[in-house]
Amino acid sequence: MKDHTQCGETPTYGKSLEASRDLSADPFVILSNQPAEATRRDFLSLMGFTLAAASLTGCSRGLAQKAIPLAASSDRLIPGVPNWYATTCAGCSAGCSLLVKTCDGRPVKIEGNADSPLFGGGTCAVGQATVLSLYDDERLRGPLWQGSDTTWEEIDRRVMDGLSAARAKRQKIVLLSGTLVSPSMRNIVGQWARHPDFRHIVYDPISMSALRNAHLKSFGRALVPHYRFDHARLIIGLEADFLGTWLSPVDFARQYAITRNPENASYLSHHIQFESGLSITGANADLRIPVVPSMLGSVAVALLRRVAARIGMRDFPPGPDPLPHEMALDAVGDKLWKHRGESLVVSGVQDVSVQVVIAALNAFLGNIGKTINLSRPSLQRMGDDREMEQLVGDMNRGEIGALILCGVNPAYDYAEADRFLEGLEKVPLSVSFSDRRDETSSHVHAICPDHHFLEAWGDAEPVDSCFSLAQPTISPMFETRAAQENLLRWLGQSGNYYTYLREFWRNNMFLRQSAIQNFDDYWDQTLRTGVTELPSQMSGHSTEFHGPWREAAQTIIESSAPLTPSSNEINDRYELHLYESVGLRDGRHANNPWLQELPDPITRLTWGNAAAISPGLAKKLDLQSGDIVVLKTEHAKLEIPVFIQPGQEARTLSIPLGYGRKQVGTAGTKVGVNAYPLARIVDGVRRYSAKNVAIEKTGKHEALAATQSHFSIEGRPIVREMTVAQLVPTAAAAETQGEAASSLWPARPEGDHSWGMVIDLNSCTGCSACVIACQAENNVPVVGKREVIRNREMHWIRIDRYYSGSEENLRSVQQPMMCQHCGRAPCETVCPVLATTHSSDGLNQQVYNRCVGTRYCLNNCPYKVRRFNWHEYSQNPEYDYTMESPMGRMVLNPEVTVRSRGVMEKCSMCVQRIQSAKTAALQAQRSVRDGDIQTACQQACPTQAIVFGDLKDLNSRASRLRRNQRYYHVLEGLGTLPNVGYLAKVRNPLTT
Amino acid sequence: MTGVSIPSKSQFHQAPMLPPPKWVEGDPSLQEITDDVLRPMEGLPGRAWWICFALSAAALTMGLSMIGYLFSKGIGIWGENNSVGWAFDITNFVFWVGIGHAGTLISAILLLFQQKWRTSINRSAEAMTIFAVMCAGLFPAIHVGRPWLAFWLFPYPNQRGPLWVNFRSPLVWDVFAVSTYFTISLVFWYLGMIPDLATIRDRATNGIKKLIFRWVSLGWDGSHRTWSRYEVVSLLLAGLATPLVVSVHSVVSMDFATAVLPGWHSTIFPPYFVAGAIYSGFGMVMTLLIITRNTMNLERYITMRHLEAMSKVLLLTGSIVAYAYLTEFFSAWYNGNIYERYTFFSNRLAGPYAWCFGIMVLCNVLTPQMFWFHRIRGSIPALFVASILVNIGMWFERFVIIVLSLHRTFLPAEWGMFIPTIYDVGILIGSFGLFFTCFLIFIRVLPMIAIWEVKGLVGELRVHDRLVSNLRTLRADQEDGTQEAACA
Amino acid sequence: MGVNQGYSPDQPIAFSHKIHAGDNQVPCLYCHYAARKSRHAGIPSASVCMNCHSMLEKQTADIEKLKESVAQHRPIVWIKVHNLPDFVSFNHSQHVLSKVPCQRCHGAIEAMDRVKEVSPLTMGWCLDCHRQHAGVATSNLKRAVESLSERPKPVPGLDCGKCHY
Repeated sequence: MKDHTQCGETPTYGKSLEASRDLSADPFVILSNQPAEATRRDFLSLMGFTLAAASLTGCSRGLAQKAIPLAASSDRLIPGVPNWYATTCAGCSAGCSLLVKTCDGRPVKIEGNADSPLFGGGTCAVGQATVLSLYDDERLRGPLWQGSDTTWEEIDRRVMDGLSAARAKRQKIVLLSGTLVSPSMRNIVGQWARHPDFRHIVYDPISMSALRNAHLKSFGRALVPHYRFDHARLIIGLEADFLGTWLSPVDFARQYAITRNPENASYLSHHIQFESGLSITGANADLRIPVVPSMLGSVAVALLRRVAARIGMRDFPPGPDPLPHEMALDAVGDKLWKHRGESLVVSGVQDVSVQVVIAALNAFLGNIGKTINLSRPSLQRMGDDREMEQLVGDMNRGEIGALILCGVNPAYDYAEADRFLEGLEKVPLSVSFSDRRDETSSHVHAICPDHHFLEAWGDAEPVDSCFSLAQPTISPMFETRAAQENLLRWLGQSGNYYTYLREFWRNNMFLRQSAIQNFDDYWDQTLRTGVTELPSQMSGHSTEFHGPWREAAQTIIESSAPLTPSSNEINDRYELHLYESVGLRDGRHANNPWLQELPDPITRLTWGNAAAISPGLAKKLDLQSGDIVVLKTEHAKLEIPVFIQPGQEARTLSIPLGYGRKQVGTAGTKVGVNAYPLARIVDGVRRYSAKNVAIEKTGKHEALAATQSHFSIEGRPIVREMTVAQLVPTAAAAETQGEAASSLWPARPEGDHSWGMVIDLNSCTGCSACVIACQAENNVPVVGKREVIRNREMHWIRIDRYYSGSEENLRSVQQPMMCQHCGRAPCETVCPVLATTHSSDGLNQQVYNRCVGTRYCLNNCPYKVRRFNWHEYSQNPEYDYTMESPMGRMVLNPEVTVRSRGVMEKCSMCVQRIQSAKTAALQAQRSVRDGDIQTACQQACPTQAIVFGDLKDLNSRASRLRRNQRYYHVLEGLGTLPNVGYLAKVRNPLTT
Repeated sequence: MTGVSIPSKSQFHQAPMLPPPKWVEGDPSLQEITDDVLRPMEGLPGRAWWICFALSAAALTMGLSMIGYLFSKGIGIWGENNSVGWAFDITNFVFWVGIGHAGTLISAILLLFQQKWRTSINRSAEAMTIFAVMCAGLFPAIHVGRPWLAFWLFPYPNQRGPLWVNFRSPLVWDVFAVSTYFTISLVFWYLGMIPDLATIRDRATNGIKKLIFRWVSLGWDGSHRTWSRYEVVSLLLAGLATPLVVSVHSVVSMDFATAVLPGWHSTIFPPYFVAGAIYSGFGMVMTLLIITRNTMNLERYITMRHLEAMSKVLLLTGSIVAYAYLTEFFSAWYNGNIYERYTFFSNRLAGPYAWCFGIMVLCNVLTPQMFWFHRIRGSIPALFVASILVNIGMWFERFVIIVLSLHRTFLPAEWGMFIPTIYDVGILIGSFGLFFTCFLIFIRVLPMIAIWEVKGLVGELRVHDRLVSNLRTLRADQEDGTQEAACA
Repeated sequence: MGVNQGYSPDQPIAFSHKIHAGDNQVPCLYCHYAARKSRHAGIPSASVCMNCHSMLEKQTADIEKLKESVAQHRPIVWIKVHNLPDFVSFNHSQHVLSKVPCQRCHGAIEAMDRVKEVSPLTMGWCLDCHRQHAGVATSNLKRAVESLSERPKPVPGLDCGKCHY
């Protein structure tokens, strides 16, 4: 049985990779002479053997199940008892600190590390999904030379020959990497840099070099500041989706939620968002003003003008305001002035002058050092677009002797990918650390696959002096090798990266702290907690603003001279806005089926991207969602379906990046359209917007896989909203009515607990981390585009989105919806076979093995949260996503049954976690305490919008929130008495 | 003046003896009746029969193969989804159960009410009931996600604790209702056939046939004792079957009435469904009878009067159904519940499936109203078309109730559409194939008209004629007597 | 259906619980140490056996096999006797910590030379035990009657979701 699936001991604190490797040699597996039957719990060992579920079919006698113990037992490794390891996420450059749950040696679940000062316990959807990428079948099994398998010795020899050849020819050796958040890695690169011919170029597909350059001009240092939204009472965003994708969303969402807590109304922040396409940040704003991308600069100027006037700065370059929002701008200007020093203006606009103006705005408002931290800047997004531009030129001129690609894929995400590839042809030695054959690595000489970060040692410093360590949670599954180790070896240094890392920490971090004297203790301690924060070393830098703000403002005013409506150009000329999608981000995770099937929080689209257009534009051009159009800019053209998006700026098309990979794997290849070619470099920075875009209809149509088709709430009291004014200061509304409603059914036995959940609609940003967390925890299958189009996605928790208000001031609200665990559940009375019943502690339980699949419960569920297995989604070649290949099946949580076709499933409130918490309490001879149990969705939530607890315990957090005045039940009138409730969303209109 | 008082001429003419309605035309001899009814069984089938049989058998085969595919792949091959959990499957189930009702009504209730006109149609109507219920039973069995476990819907002792079925679930009630219904109808039908089976036995020339029918006619000897017992038993069974006419479809309607969905959650469903069932049932009976009487030349026994009587039943039940529709809309408007109002006024009238609602109204509300006109009641083609429309309309009624209520429920975020796949349609057609195949075989191998009952009717006519002639002679004698008195 | 009461397969090594647990009084949890902490009782690895057998000089063919497996670092492939359907999550530690004697389910294991499945391991069998301990009637009829009069008592482990998830 699963009970004994076991795959060797995982490396633990202070243990080197080598020490851990041997154990995976004797897996503890269950062999079987019968194929797994799929409703059954699914167990498989590291080697991917599955277990027979002989027992149910009753013929288990005669076919013996084998039980193979560990060859050598260990007190650290008890079959069936999960181990937890602290490590650091490499899903993006934010470097969130993680705890990884390994069951029987397999990492199966990722959680946020609550000890992290930056991120709390939060994670994002991508971080949650990275555990699946570990088991990606497309990963290379070993190094390749010229596309054919080879040995590491061979690779080392050839690469070092190539490098010395390049040095001999005095040609440049270039390391092209993404932003390196790892201090030890930066140190290794530093060692390379001692060679004169070496150059390290940082290339971020989603670049912030405009921001960096602006800070160079304004404060003398090219950096990305660390923003403190939690210190801001007025937040103004210009095209910066800081809750979804911008810079460090988990960190920012956590900070943001702090200032949005209505229970603390005295410190309730206002949030105004100027943006062209609707982002989840805009959806959460108190006031969202649609602005065409080319006018964002002049919005910034208009605000600066108002502030400058207040502080008596004359000679401000004259110019018109972006007309439509003048009134709003005045109001915003006043508010900014009112909140001097506790306001924050952030912008994602890739335009140096705009960023200078923003910097000036923050400086004049005295936000530097308060909401903007320059002395401990963020160390992410260090890329400089100019350098990359130059490199491509050098490559084409044949000046590059060797090119080492580390974590980058320019052939996909560089604007002029073809030029890059041409250049690459001319490079005598090209090496990639990519873990697969992708658009770039399939053109290099040597592919040296790096470990997945869950297999690797490492460290990170996302924000200055905020360190976190990464340790392997499983021994490497293939013949891969750490990138750092390659770089060390090719420097001629022996020893593996682990020892290097240890030494590096001994000589740096250890010396910078004084708490622990013995390094081994310090190392173990840091590994255990995963994070450590040290005093900053960057001091004495001036935070004095001396930026050329007048010139910047001038250039903006000139560049965005208001287009005269008379010129017939305008009418058929539109603007383009490219953005990172919450699911796929910059596209590196495109082969992750979980992320491909994650509905975009705004459009709710899966398995592909589309150009969002406003309803007005759709009417004007007579377009339906799914109609394919051709977009023409001066550089490129793109064929893409359109999607009608309320709140979209009338003349702008917004396209998510990260799709349209040509070569990444079965799941991600040829899904959607690649919009990177439209992101050209303008005045040395990469622009994610474009003017003068022409739209041509093709007459073709494509079905879009959206998980929600109707966005109007139809005036139904499903989502409740209130304004700050409506909040009664010390009111504690009694528990909702209806509890006393009479019932036809006899009373049920009542246990010691009544598990319930409260979801704060005011804290929920819609980031969708919970969706993936739930999918990972509960073995929720991926069903693919065809099934999603047929409205058969399987997610147990979904995030419903509703719109209200006008186009100009769109009010958007998102509502996480999962099984409400009704006290009087309509589904329970109708199930003919008692497959769904009520537990004595308030759970609505679904028994898969009893379910015959009449779907009556699904029909009778008012919340429509039940999910039916229309097909066999596991071990079925037709659904080759996560549960088909032995590799993919390794991510399955052995504590949760894998459902077969024909059975109903739904949110179980993570009953397996409740069970293990109870057992833990029993082992500790105590009762379950509030907070012992965290559901997967709750744990993942960066804003702690979800609270689970025992409603019988009147002091549990959940119970207290149920007495909150904002508490309500969805569809209260039906008398279903849910154990899941919601806290109303609070609007904080600008007028207050 | 002596002698008994004999009614005078005038008195006699004032009290004429009305003949009973003629349910058999061109009063055939008993021998002829037997011949007419049994002719199809004894001769070889005609071309028309073979064509129909080929078609329906083909449909059945297709349906069965698609069901096979369904079992191998799962419910996913149908168009149902997270929003619409039931669609064609349960629509067809309710449709077929409804069809069944006419049979029981004709055989049981009309028997109790001594409606003579039922005699020549009840046999085929009962047969239809059996086959319809067979089709109906098919769908609940195949619509479950794991059909190989469908037997869990029956309560039986087990090792699980034990674990029983959920007696609160209307689906369990269905299981009982439909299985009882099938059993009773089957027994009733068979019992009604025994005398005729005996007749066949006696006429049979071929040894095997004789053997079989001897066996199935349970040694019927036609003695007075047998007949009297027989009458009693059929009355009893009629009494048993009668409540089923009402109960079965009431129970089926509770699948919906007990749910919380707007459009399902309605107290008028039981009577509404029963009326609809009888309506659709009679529609189907009429279709079948018009076909058979013309193909099997039984016009003598299935007369225009029969068809007219049935069209009147259609008119009545159709009007009840129309009234039910109105009531639904009224209560939706009157209770002011926004969800109810949306379901009926915004979605049924103006939603994406409004055309289904249109078809339903056209066929179930307007069509039966045509039967107010005698000319329409009297024209075979008109009746035939009308009966087909009734069937279509009633199928759509169930589709409207199920799918239009499901696809847009409480939370707009989960609204969806149902688009049938070829397997939805194919299995529906397959069920018709099953139905007609069974029926065609039935009219080949069993007497589709209750010979003994028809004979009974003709018998009555004979009695009436004899009575009239006796009176005539009596009157004649009396007149002679008065003349003699006058002479004296 | 699926009941394997009396199942008693041959094992690669004729390990006798009678000798170990019976005659020599080795406590169950010494070898099956996982049962205290884990869902699984766990089958001890050969190294656990060697804790004693490295000191005992008694030699048999089976002990040779054991030593060989340790030497070669290759696990012994045992035949599983007690197989639950894998949609059931049974947790040994909960029962061990609740002082349920192993014999309650596994029978007089200390008297068995070759392990035999003595219990049916059906759901009904589990529930009967749970009901007895909660003081609830095990006969359905009696329970039905009681449920009419008084509110049913909660029985630990009677919720479906306790084992099926």
